[in-house]
Amino acid sequence: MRSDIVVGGKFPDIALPDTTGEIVKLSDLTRGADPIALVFYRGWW
Amino acid sequence: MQLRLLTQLDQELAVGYAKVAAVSVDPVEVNAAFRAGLGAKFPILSDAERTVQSDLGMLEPTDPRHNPFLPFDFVLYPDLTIYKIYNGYYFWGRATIEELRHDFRQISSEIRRDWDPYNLPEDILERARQRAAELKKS
Repeated sequence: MRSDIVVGGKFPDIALPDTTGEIVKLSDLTRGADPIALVFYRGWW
Repeated sequence: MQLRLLTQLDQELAVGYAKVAAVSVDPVEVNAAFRAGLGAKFPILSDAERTVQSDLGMLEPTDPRHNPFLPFDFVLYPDLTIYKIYNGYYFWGRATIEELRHDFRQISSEIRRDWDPYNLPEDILERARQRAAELKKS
């Protein structure tokens, strides 16, 4: 994993399509106000 | 299974000022069908181009056929500062919904200035007084 991804570091403000195809930024989800749990999973299969 | 368990948090997230999002390398349409099947309300994001996976260095090395994410969970403050990292390579390393409840409680107690109603900051009290006065007039 990238060396700056550590507790206390800043997670990059990634932007990816949601299930409607709309690009969603992480900061759009938190709105600077709410904590978030980000779950990276292997996949459907 | 992990995402199915996370759907149990959906109702709590709706009232708890916290969010969950999942990310996979599956295409949008696969994630859409998966999300609908789960009945999940939280977003599932697609990194089918594997740009985030590459940038973060999170390639699962033992599955060159599917090139999935290494399973990790990150709990983040609202400004995206990393609060906790769960290494989910083995299932038991993944964040449970109970652990997420504890994490959200701890973060909320740190960031919500009105967490303790007996020690509200003066500006919040003043706003409440003004609001009460407005309601009394109307």
